[in-house]
Amino acid sequence: MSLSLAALYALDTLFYASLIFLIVSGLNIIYGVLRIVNLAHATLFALGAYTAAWITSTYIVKVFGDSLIALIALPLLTAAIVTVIASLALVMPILAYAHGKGDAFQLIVTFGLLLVFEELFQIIWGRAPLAANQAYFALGFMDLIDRKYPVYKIMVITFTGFLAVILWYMIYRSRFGLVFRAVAMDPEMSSALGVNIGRVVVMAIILASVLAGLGGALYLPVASIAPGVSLEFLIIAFVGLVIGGLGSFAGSLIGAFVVSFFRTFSIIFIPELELVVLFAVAALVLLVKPEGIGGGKGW
Amino acid sequence: MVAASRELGNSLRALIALSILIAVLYPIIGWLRPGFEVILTYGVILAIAALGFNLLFGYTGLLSFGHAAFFGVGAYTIGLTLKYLNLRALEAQIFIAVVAALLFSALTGFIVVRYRGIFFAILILVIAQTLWGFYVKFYHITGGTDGIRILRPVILGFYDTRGLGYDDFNMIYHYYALAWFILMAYLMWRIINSPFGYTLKMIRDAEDRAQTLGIDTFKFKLAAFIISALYVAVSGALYAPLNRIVTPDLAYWTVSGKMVFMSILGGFTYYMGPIVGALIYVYFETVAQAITVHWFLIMGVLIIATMVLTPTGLMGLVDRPSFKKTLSLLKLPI
Amino acid sequence: MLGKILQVSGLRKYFGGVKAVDGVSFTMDEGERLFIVGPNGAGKTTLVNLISGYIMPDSGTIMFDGRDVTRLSLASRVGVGIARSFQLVNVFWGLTVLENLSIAVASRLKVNTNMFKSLESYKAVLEEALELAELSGLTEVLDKRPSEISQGDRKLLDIAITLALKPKLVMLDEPTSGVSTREKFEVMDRVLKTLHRFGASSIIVEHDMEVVKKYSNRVLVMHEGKIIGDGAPSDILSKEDVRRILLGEAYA
Repeated sequence: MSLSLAALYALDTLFYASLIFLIVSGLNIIYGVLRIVNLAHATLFALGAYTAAWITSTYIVKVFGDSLIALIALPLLTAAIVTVIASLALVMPILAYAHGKGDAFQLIVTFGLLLVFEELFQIIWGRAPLAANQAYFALGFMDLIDRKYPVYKIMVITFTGFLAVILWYMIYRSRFGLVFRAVAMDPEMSSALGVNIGRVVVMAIILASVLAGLGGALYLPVASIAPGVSLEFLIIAFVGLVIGGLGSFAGSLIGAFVVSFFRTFSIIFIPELELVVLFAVAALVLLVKPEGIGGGKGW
Repeated sequence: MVAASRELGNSLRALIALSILIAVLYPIIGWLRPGFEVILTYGVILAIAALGFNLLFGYTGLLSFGHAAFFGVGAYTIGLTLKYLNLRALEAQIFIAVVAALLFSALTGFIVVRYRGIFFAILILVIAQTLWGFYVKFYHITGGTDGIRILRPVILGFYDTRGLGYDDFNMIYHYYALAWFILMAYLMWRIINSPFGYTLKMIRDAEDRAQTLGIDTFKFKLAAFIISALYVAVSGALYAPLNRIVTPDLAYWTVSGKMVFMSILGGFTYYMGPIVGALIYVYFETVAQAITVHWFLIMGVLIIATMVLTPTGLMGLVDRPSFKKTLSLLKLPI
Repeated sequence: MLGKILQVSGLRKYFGGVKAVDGVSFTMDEGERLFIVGPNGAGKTTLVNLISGYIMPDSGTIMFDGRDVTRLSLASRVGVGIARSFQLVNVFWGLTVLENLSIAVASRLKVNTNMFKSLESYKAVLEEALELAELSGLTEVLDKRPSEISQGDRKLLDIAITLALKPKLVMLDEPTSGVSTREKFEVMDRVLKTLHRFGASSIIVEHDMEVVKKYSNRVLVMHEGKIIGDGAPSDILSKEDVRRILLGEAYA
């Protein structure tokens, strides 16, 4: 493998890890406060992508032309807002109801939610793939030794790194984070100490939705969004979750990186066996370290 | 034991009554609403899958979102044995499907039944999506998304259904599928009332306690996983000739969702639950699909509504004291 | 050797710096009933965990019925006749009382793998389950699920499931915990009657001194991982240092 090819794979792994991190960290945040693994979480990622595609092609391009700032910032903003609204309206009531009702109940109702979302997307945006890659091409390509690499992907990696730092600060240095970690460690104790659990849960759900929505909007320009994408990302994110371990910041990062690494390489060398590779990695991690590589420690 | 057999949802008499009803209803519906009678055939075939799914979920406590994998194994065995071996003897094809499902489920179950909850659910979902990907991508073998057309089978080793008219075939196939259903449902009834079945229930309720009684719970979970897969594969195999085509859709994740829905709709804590759930499910689906293409939206809403309103499903409603009282007032025999 | 069901010598188990069990030795005669008392954190449950095989000791030996079981797995110890119940009720909540008992008996008889004969049709299983129910006083609630019976009955069911294994040695971790004051003597009466009927030796961890005084003829007092007293309750429990430890700070 040439050096430039290796660099390309490394950057692609990072790019993909960024997207997965935005989903997995949200899953872990919700798991932290509610002890629910939300099967419908990746649909918020898809919603972000759909929103970005829709706002870019119907509004931004017409009003702002090829203004780079508008092409990049507005879809992100819109996606975050739409995702939060949808999440508070549809996801939160279900999660609140399912809280404390056991694994099977939670998996089944969030699976129901997954079906609802997937079908709603098709009702609103149709079954044909939607794309809006203006931002991707507007940013152009940079030299990577003897190859070209899209600047857009570098921007996504940088931006996600920035988000990760903010998230880390929020959780480990802010007042919200203090309360959040207390609840994640022991919800009953926290509520006994007078913490308003309801508020923390709402905040956590908003935070997780924003991350997923941004992820979808960031993903859209390099690909397209169509039915089935939710499930694709659901699976990859959950393998990341299994690998990283449930409910921690470090676990989200590690899981996202490991799963993206294996996915990138299996897509390059054995594309037909992508899922087999992911399954093998997840099963192996579970066998050796059932709590995941970074898990078991909590937030 | 004593209490369980008295419940309507767990009685063999309910199965017998329902089977007779299905047999009698077929010509009646065909006469009243031509074309609707075939729903019953789909219903009994899917009920076999739901029974298998629920052995794992309702009786062993393992919730799978990937049983479409075994449905696909069943259906594609019919397609591939027809396409490459020119085999049309349905029982032989079903036998091959069972062997294939046995091998495949033993191999995958060996890994996945070690886990519970979300881990089990996700690992089996990944397996199912992998197989679905194979059917789509290896189109030179599987026909890709175009699938494989299924010719009319030879049943019982001698009866070639190829010359039959549309309605005649449907009717014969209905009673053929009903016979399979009765056989599989009866076997399931034996299984869940056997020491083996009760051992699964122990594992469902308190796996650690079962271990203190000296039970190797891994082996029992694996056995339940395999039996469950065989049921779903038989269902998939019977589905193929009626559907007349086998496509990757039959192995898609939404099919796993159907099995989850059928079980909870009927009531996963009852033997009759998945059976009743499957029969009502196919009716819902047919009615809904006549109105809208967005059936999965309705299904998603119904899944959530069922879990919120009656987590023990329709059988749970029937089992309520108030309903039983009504029944006794009507002096119904059951 | 003859007649000694259990010989524990020099048993040690540390968790990090905590000496949970610190050089415990004692022997038990066949058919003997032994109560273990001590304040919270004295190492009582750890000792039970060590003897039943849930955890392995750092050092020391456990001889059971003339053989060394120190390194045997949990399942093998069930096989040689050591069984236990837990402090928290752990029964099969989805099954009726009779089903709970029947499947426990069936597990001992190793008929679990039969898939096609109904559990009900095993006459020997049913008879034994009914006998267990009778001895435990559960005959009235055979058709009820554990959620529908009293806490005392649940405890009895839990212990009856353990006894269905026909163990030679039964260890009960606080059989009366969570049981109402009204019920606790009835629970103990039933448990001991059943134990007697099965001829099993027993180790009973107990907090309730009323229960200990009423039912024991030999008591082990544990404190900080060590045995600080062993003998008849009337002698042991009246000693000044033992009283101080058992009553804790309230007394001091």
